[in-house]
Amino acid sequence: MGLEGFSFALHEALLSIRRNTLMSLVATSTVAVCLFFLAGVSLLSVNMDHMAGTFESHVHLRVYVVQGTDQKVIKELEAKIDEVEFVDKVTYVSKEAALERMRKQFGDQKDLLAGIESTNPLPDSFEVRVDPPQKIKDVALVVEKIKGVEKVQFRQEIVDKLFSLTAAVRGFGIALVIVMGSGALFIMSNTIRITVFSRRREVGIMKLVGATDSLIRGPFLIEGLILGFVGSVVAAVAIFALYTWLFGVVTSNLPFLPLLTPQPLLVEVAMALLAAGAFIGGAGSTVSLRRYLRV
Amino acid sequence: MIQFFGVSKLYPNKVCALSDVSLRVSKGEFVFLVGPSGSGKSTLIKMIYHEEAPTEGDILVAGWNLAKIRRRDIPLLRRNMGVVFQDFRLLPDRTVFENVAFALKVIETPRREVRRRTMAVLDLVGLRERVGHYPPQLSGGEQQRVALARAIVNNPPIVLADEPTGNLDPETSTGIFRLLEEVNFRGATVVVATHAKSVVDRMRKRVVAIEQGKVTRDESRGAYDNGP
Repeated sequence: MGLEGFSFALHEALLSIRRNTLMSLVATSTVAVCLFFLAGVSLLSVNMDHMAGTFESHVHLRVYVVQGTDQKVIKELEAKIDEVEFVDKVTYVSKEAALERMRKQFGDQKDLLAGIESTNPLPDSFEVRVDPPQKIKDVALVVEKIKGVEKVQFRQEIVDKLFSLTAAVRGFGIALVIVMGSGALFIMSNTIRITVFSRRREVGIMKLVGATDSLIRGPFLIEGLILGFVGSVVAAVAIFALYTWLFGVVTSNLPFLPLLTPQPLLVEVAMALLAAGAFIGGAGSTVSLRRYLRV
Repeated sequence: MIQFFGVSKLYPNKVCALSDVSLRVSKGEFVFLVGPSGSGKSTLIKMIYHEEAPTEGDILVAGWNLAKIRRRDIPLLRRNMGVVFQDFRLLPDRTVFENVAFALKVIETPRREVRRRTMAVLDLVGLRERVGHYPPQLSGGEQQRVALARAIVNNPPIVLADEPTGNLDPETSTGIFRLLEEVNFRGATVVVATHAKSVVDRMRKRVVAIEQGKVTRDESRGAYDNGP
């Protein structure tokens, strides 16, 4: 398509948007609503994923050292554990520190510890973080066999439950995004089909007087791009405002919920929305036109 | 310019629109296609601009073999012809000027050319003072003249008309036929399917009669009806 063709297409696209104000409004708001929900679901999904990740990373192994091991051997032990595959971080907890922790946990009832305080039967131990957390069992099996390790402990059933829960959350999020995405595409392609149908007379005449297929597509493609783009801008602005507001509310009322901060997340989402809007508009009109271009 | 070799057309619903039609229209000829409704005249015209493809036979138009034409060449084929219909097929939300200019714009004619040629052709059909009107504001005859202007603005070597005066009164029809004759005089090959007996009889042009999909008569200076 040459310059004349492009200027024709642009002019026709703008003309069509102006003449079919209602239809253009419907198409734009359809894109806006669909993309808004799509973005909302995506944000929900990435946040659920983020929360799942946060909870998973709190899972750790506790490695008890054989009683009476001296400090030098403990240092060597720490280095050995650190070398095991998938071990992310090893923290040493001395028997004194362990007792102190227990004292804190018991709080008001620390009298119960009275009997053991003098002898302190608690062993020295390590807290081992594993990355990825799913490898915790493998790491446990290796560490168990290291000489000087008395016992390795982790809450098997809690870990299993947590992992299956986070996997379900992720799967659910992905499914939701797919369902919303295909729904948006379906509604869009139908809306554009109506727009194309309402202009079949123009298409017929264009074909009759010898317009090439690419020239016939031109105005629709540009119209689709413009409508899709405008719709996605609306969606982006709305989701930006909503998420920023929600983030403020949640962080002040439920501070333990680890939400992703609005920046740079929202900028990425907005970019993706604009691209998606233009793509849906352009692709939707091209696909819808194909039927009418058959000779 | 237009040649049919043993062309048959069988529609998917088993209706046989044309059967074994051979026809040759030379450059610069003026041809009337006559015959009862449903005899196959419209199908024949549609085949010339490749709206319909034959089920059998070959068609040559302006140097193209339509049996073998590539999809992307169809627009180029159609730039060689202007087509006029009974129902005008104008865009009601565009002015007379825009309707005619549309045909030039979609084949990417430079803007200045578009204006000059559109005005010139509107002069020819006598609608210069109507350029800013919309089709619903015009009479049937005026609308058909706009449609004709659109068909010929590109100076095509072939002009096809399918019942161009089917919706018009006899007096207005005469004006349209006079314009078609003018176009023919300027060098275009013209093929007109029509029921306008009086016009056909008066103009004494070549007449091709079609009945039940077959050419039954082909006379160089013929009349609408058979006979002496």
